[in-house]
Order: sequence, then C-alpha cells, then structure tokens
Amino acid sequence: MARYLTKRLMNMIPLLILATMIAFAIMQLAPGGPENMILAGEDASIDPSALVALREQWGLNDPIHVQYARWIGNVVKGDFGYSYFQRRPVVDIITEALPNTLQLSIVVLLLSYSIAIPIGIISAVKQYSWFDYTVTGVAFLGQAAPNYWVALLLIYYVAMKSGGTIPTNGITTQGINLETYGWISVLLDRLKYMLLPLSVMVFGSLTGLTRYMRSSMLEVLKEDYTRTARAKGLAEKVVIYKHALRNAILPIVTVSGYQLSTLVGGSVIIETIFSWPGIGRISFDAVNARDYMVSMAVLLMAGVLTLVGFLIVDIVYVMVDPRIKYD
Amino acid sequence: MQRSRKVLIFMSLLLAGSLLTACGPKTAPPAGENKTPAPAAAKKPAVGGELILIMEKDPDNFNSILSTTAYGDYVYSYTNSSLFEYTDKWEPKGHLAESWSFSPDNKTMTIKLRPGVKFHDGSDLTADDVVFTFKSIMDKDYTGPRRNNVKYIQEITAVDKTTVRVDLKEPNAAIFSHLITPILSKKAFEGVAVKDFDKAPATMKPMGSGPYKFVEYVRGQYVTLERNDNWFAKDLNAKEGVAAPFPKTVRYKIIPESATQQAALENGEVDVHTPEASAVGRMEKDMKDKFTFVNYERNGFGYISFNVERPHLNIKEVRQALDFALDKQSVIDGLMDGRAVIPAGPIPPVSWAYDPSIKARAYDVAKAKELIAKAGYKLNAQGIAEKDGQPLKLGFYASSGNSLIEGIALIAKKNWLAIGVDLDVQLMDFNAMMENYLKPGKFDVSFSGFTLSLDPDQSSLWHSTQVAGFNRGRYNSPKVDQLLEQGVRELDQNKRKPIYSEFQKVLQDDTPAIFVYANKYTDTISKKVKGGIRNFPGTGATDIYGWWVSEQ
Amino acid sequence: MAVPETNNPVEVKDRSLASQKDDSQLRAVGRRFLRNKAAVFGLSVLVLLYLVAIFAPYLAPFPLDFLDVTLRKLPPGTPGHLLGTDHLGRDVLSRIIWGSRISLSVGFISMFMSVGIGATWGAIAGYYGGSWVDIAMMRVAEAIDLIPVYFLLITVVSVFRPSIFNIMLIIGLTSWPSIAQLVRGQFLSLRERDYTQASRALGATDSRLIFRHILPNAAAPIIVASTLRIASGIMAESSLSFLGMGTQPPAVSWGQMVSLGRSFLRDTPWTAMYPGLAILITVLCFNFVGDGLRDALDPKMKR
Repeated sequence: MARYLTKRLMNMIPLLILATMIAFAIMQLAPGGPENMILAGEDASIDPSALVALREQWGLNDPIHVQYARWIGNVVKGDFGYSYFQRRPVVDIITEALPNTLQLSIVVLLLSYSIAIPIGIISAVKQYSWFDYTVTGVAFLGQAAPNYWVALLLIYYVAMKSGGTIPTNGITTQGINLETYGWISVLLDRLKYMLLPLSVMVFGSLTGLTRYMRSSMLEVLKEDYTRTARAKGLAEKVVIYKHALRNAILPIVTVSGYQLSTLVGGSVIIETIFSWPGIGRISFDAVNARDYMVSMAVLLMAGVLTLVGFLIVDIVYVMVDPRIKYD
Repeated sequence: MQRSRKVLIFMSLLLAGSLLTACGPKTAPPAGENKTPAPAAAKKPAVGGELILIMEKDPDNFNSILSTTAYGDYVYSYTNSSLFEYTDKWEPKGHLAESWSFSPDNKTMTIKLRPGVKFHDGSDLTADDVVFTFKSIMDKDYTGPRRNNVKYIQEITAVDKTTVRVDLKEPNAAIFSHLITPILSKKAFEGVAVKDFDKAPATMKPMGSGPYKFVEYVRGQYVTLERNDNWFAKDLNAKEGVAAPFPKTVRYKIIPESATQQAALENGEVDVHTPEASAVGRMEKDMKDKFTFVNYERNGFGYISFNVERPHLNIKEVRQALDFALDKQSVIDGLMDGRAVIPAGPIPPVSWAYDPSIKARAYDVAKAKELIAKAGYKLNAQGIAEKDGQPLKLGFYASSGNSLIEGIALIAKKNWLAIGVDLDVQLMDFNAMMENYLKPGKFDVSFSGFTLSLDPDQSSLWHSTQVAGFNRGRYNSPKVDQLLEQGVRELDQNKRKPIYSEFQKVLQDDTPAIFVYANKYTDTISKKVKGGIRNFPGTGATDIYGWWVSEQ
Repeated sequence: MAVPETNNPVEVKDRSLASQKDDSQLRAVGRRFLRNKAAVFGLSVLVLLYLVAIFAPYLAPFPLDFLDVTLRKLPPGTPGHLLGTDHLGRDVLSRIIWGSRISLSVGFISMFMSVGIGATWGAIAGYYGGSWVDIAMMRVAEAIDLIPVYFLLITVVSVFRPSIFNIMLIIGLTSWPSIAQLVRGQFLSLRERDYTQASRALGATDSRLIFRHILPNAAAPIIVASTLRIASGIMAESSLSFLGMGTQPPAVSWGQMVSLGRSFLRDTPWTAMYPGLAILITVLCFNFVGDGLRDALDPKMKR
C-alpha cells in the first residue's frame, strides 16, 4: 500500500506541472496585463506611460518560460508571490478567502449527502410510487435549472420580498464582529447570509446525488445476493437496511472524494451573485485582471486537491472492495 | 437513531437558528461598543460623537502616493494634509502652505510652510517631509500611479525648515493640482527603500498631520479615525469659538453592496451616502425630514471618442453629424434614470474656465443628414452612406460587462443607422480591448469616462503628444496644442480664462469626441449631521471638519 | 455537482457493423425509446424549439436590433409585449426567440467537437491501453481537465474576437477529457472480448478493429453521453455568458439575458426569469431524451 501511495503521489507531480504549464502559457497569451487595471479607474491624473515601466519592473516582459521557471522555483520554496492588483502576498489573499468558501461548501456537502441518501434509498425501494416520481421529477428539474437562475429567483422572491430580513447578498452584517457581539450572534448572522447561497448550491448538488443514490440502490436491489437474502427469509427491512444499503452506499461515499477540489474551489457563479468573498470569486477576478500570481496559486491548490481527491477515492475503493487489486 | 431522523433533527436546528436571526433585533448597536456620547445641544458646535461614512470596498492601502483606489483616498485625505486646498470656485488656497511666490520667469516656486505643524506622533512637519513625499514619486523605483504629478518638476529642495523650493521645467499653472498629494512623514518611512514602500507599516497605518488620526482598519468591516486635538488648522476652521474638527471619531463602514448601503443609510447606521438614482426619488418623497439632500454634477463625463486618423472620421463634418444624430437624452433617460446632464463641452460649468456660450449640440437628425451629404456621402442600396465606394462603416470597441456602455453602444448603433452609418459594436474584455484595439489605434469609436482634476488643464486628454496616454483618439490639432500649452503656462487666472474659452470653442467645432453625460449625484446626509452642508462643486457634500453630530 | 459518468458495462450483444442484425436492432431500440413518455415529450419539445430557432426571423415580433427607450420596463402582458420589455425597451419574447439560435446551436457544435476529439483520443488510448501511448495521452487529458474553463476562455476571447464560434470552440476543447476517459474505459473492456480476438486472429488491422468493430459496440454510451453533452454545452454557454465571457451584445443568448436581467432584477425581474426558464426547458428535454436513449440502448439496466 505504501508503495502504491508513493507511486501515485509521484505521478501527481508531473501532471500538476503539465497542467500549470499549459494554464500559465495560455493565460499569458491573453493580451494585456495587471498593469492595465490601473487604467480602469477613470482617473485622469494618472500617467499611462508609467505603466510600461511598471510592467518591466514586475518582470512581465521576460519570456514565458523564464517567468514560469521563476514561478515554479518560488513555489517550491513556499513563496506564492505577490498579487499585482492588491499589492499583498497571495497567501494572505487565499487564507482570507478560503474559510468563506469552506463555510459554504462543507455545509452543502453535509446537507446534500444527508438528504440525498435517504431520499434516494426510499425512492428506489418504493420504485414507481408517487414519491419516486416526485423525487425523480424534481431531480430532473434541478439538474436542468441553471444555478444562477435559481439564485436570482430566490433573491427576487425571497430576499427582495422579505424587506431586509433575508439579505440579497454579502457575507456579514456591517459591524457584527466577535469582540462586540460574541460568537453566537456572529454565527446566526452568518447563517442568515448563507441561507440563499446554501439553498441554491444544495438544490443543485442534491439532484444529481439523489439520482445516483437511487440508481445505485436499484442496481443492488436486483443483485443476486439481495434475492438470496430475501429467500433466506430475512425481514424486508433487514434486507434493505442491512444488506442492500451497505453495498449501495459504497459508490456514493467513495465518489465524494471527487468533491474535494470543488470544496475548496468554490463556485464562481454563486460567489459572484451573492458577493461571497470566496476562492471562486477571487480566482475569477484574478483571471480577468490578469493577476497571474493569484490565479496560478488557486489553480495549483485546486489541482492538488483534485488529484488528492482522486487518490482518496481510489484508496477507499481498494479498502472496501476486496475484489479490486492494485499493484 | 436512523440516519434520516438524524438529518431531520440537524436540519430543524439549522432552520431554527436562521429563524432566530430573523426574529432578533435588527439594528441595535451593541452595548459594549466604544461610543462617545453625542453632544447635547444641536445649535452650537461641540466636540464629540461619531460620524459614520461608507466605504464601498476595501482600500488597497492608505499611502497617498501609492494608493490606486478612491478608498485609500477617503482615509489619507483626512489623516494627511496637502500643501493646498481649493475654494468653491476651484481656486487654490494655502493649507500647509502659508504663502507662495513665483520667480519672474514663473519657473521657480517658493512655498513657505505654516510653522508649528505637527504630525500625529508629535514630530514637526518640515520642508523635508514635503520634499520626501515628492521625491519619492520622482524616484526611479517608484511604482505608484502619481508620476504625472511630478512630470513638470525638475527639482524640489528644502531651503530651510519651512521653505520648499520647486524648480519647474516650464511654467505650469496646474502645479497646484499636481502638488495636491497629501504629505507623508519622512520619519515614518525611515530605512525603507522606495521600492519597498508598499510593504512598509506606515503604508497601512498612515502617519499624517491631518484633522483625524488613523486608529484601526479591520478588513471587510471598517476603518476608524480619531480626532486630532492638535490639528494645525483647528482655529482657522473653528466655529463659534469651538476648535475644529468636531466629531470625536470618524468611522468608515465597509459595505460593498448597494442594497446594503441603502439599507444602512435608511436605518441610520451611516450618516452620509450617495444613493443610486432610483432610490433618490423615493427618499426625497418619503424621507424629507430625515435627510438633507445635496445635488451636484460630477466633475467629469462619459464620452464617445473618435479615432480621428481613420477614414470617415478624419472628416470634421462626419464627426459633427454623429454628434447631432446621437440622442443623448435617451441615454440619460433610459440608462441613468434621468440623473445626468448633457455636458456642454470638455469643461464643466462649475469651473471658472467654463465659457457659457458653449452649448451642446441638440439632437437633430435632419442637420446630421445634411452634414453627411455635405461631406460628399450618398446613401447606397443598403441604406448606408457611401463615398468613393467606401461605405460609412465604423467599429465601436468598448469593454464588456457594463450595462451602461452596452446601452450607449446599442443606442448609438440605432441612432446612427438612421443617417446611414453602420456601426459594428464589439464588446470585450477590458485588457483585450486596450491591447488589441485601443493602444494600437485599431478602432474607430470608443467609450471612456473621466473624473477631472480641479485645474482646467486637459492636456492629458487632447494634446497630440498624449497618444500613448489618454488621447487615444489621436487628436492632433496644432491650435489646441498651442492653447493647452499657453493655458498651462499662464498663471494669472484672468488671462487663462480667454485661452480656455478659445479651447472650448475649437474643441466644440472639431468634435474629436461626443460628450454624452455628466452624472448628477445626490448626497444624502442624515439630519443628525449639523453645521451647514458645503456643496463642493463636482464633489458634493464635503468638509467633514465643518460638521458636528447631534441627536436633535 | 460533478458525478462521474457511470460506466455501464455494455451488453454482450455484438453490435459490430459486420453483424447482420443491424436493422432489427435499430428498430427495437426505436420502439423502446418511443415507449418512454418523457423521452418522447422531450424530443418533441426540442424539435419545436429548433424549428423556432430556424424560423426566428419570421416568428419574432420585433427585429433583433430594435430598441426604444420610451417603451422601457413594461411588464409582461402589456399589449404587444407578451413577456414585457427590458430597460432599453427591447421586447423580451423576441429576444428569447432570437437568442434561441445561439443557445441551441452552441450545444450541438460544442458537442461535436468534444465528442469528436474525446472519442478519437479515448479510442486510441484505450486500444493501446497500458502502453506509454495510453499513459501519455491520458496524462494530457487529465491535465486539461484540471484547468477551469475560464482560465482558458479568457485568452481565447481576448486573443481572438469574442465570437460565438470561439465560445463553442472553447467549450468543446475543454470538455473532451471526460468523453475520452469514458471511451477509453469502453475500449479497455471491449479489447479483450471474444469477437475482437476473433477479428484480430482473422488479420484485421488496428484501425479497422478500432473503427469498425470496437467503436460501434462502444457506441451506446457514447451516444448517450453526446446527448447529455449537448445539454451541458448549452449550460456552459449560458453560464459563461452570465459571467460576461460569452455571447456579447449586440448578439443575444439566453444566458446573456439572465446576466443583464440581474442588474435590473428589482425593476424588471421578467427579463431574467423567462430566458432562464427557456434554458431550463431545453436542458430538461435533452436530459429526458438522453435518459430515454440510455434505457432504449441497454434494456437490461432498469433505471
């Protein structure tokens, strides 16, 4: 196992390098640079020709491979660079945005799984019942509805009509901080702001998960060993919850490893609509502002986590299914 | 316990939690917060209380020479002092500078500083600090956006503790607006190289001599400033015997979302705000007794610029026709809720240099068609104006993602089609637009907006040498160049006026650009704020050190 | 949420083109499909939508570039404007009809690209599975899969003009890796089947084996994946347009309409609601059809 792990980890590195190289090269091909964003301020007193000097000073006129080598060299040393746009270390920006994204994504994960699994199971067990049809119908709808549209629907019908009770966007009420209010107020305040983005995200992920759980359960229920258990005279409930469930749940739970990178990457769309200052948004803003250091750092982080997620999934599969062998 | 039951319990807890928040009190300020009591009597100015303002985004930093955002300015304009200030007529008046004089050739300016000015840490503000501030901008390692301010300075030296000598490359009447940068404390940046300024602690904790001291900045939350009891101008700005400034603390609450800003204003959580156009109408009707409304026009404009080197646009009549054919009022009505005016020309009416005889062209399609015909164009089979086999097809390049610009582009397209002009609208990423089309001059029509300085000099926009700068339309008029140069060299305002009059007339006739709108803003100020609201032309309600807060 | 495309083991039925039972198999598939009410419904609605898109110039009440500021912000139901107007006075219904052209065609074109590249890539990699060819090819696919679309899109839209074709190109170019993985998986398992071995023993060349024998058998999941890929292509274009990186004015697409409607949500919510609804219906129908195809092609898997 240890040898397998090491081999996999070693394989990750060239992959990451390849991905970051491709992304770096392609992003640099886009015209312009971070120095142009200063022009966007409509301030007539700025001297645009000074931006040329700025670009040179930031080393942006060096050939791409030189810049890339510089970046990789720094990353290896633990230096993720400086944001051109915000003029502070990338690490600071990411560590500030990360908890915000995690708050949403972890809760979404927990909620979706804890709702999808029981609903999927019941739907499969009671196949063709009205419950099943409703669930499947809603699941289809949920998968077809664009998440940004659902978000706007919620904002309009819930937040705007609530007269300020439910905020339309943002992450916190002005001035509510730990020192003066205490953590319960902060928590409740944060929940208030999380309500809408959470609803949209949970709705979106629930649908796919539910269908997946349902089909997995359906498959298991038709398997030979289920029929055997029934033939042995075991109570239906035992058959379902003890035997079928254990096998049906496996694919779902193991697959959750694929979610690792989205946990951290966040959703650009949700974060933009709800002005949630998370990783998705800062990454998107960075790409637009050509803030290369930030976007590359986020890419690297997401890439690492995606691959680690795959690794975890594979390991869990090996552990739970003795039939699968890896060398 | 079964999984589904656990889920149910968890979810009900979550739901209960969120409901609790909805039920709780919305705006009661915390008991424990540090709040100095507001002064009791409304009529008399008194020191005390807190003035709360809005900051729309987190600032990048508080360094007057490095900050590229307006939000840093909100803070350092109160923590640091400038050499000069401006009167309501946009004339310079001394602030840190007590007096100044020019050499006979106007190339050397000698500034005498007010004696006895101290920084918040007690140290003296001397000529060295002034020199330090501007020399840092002139330094080769300087990476900030203020290089334009020192463009005309040959050398700046401290003659003695209170005298600064500025040697200009040429006489420059706009020097006051160039030297407007708030002064930094040399001592605060001791030992830090210019290229490392953005990492210096003093960049985030400004040390200045202004009416307010920097206290703290909590990212995403607020910036707090505290009254400087030893402000050098406290007696100069005293009211009824009470020294300025009056609010004990000034707090900027960082609120990025306009809906939240509006709510904060209406709830009394902030004292001053510039609401969105759509909200102002409603507030003026329903909240007349809670707020004072200050209307003003922006010192700036949004304009469509023409690349005058391109075919078709190099003909003056074509440009004038496009101006006549554009229904600017529909832009203002449809896209800005009517809250803007059509600028008469490049210089706003609030400036002393404005020539009242200059008027914007009215919307006149017939006149436009006449001009196009006069320029030698005839409509072809597709209804497009054509001359020498070349149809009048123009490319409009602007940045995407802005509904105002989109709207202007589409309205222009429709309006101009009526006179036979085929406008190809291309909206794209800002960087791509700059690099691929604007900078290399591969465009016909583009859109920009600018906020101007208080000096009428607009060389950066129209002078033929500024093509790499803001004169992307490559306007090249020897007459205008000459007027701009003259205007800036002449220091006597009375002599400058006719020069700028001429400038406006030539520009109006040449039409290198169409001035589309100058925003009308309304600052709303809570009635809690007393002291007479000064409406500074172009900027609105200002002068916080003339206000005091009182509950009555 | 990204749920990996499930690898349905293909039935043992041999569907290589060498087999003679093609005709009746196809009919059997068709019959099974038609029995699925949701799939039939979906297909009919889609045909209708595509007809609307094709005949847009005749169906839309107002031309594409029409605007009239004096008619702005009219609510749905105003005479002449069934779905209302936006802040520039443009008729929402007309724009939805015009927008269907982009929104619907993006799906197809990006699907062709993505499946075209992905299937070929995956076929080759899967056929030579285990060898360095396979490893290298899949590494590149995985690397590209790691990069978010907008990283690459920002370059494409700024280097090339932000045309609709480029967007389709980019969506196609960034979504092929998962198709490649699907196809590769198919190939790995099919490679060892009896009929493949038999054909090889009879002297068939590699390419003949790939394209005439294995690929048709792998066809079923590819067809299903393609149908679903059209839907995700439509979603992708709408999301990108929503973020401002997709279709630019004066062209119009549904995602772009929702994005614009967002700025005016309080005043004119209908400008955002209806285009979103159009996307919902379209994607829903594609999902129905895709699911129907999956059931029809693999009857043993009861879903």
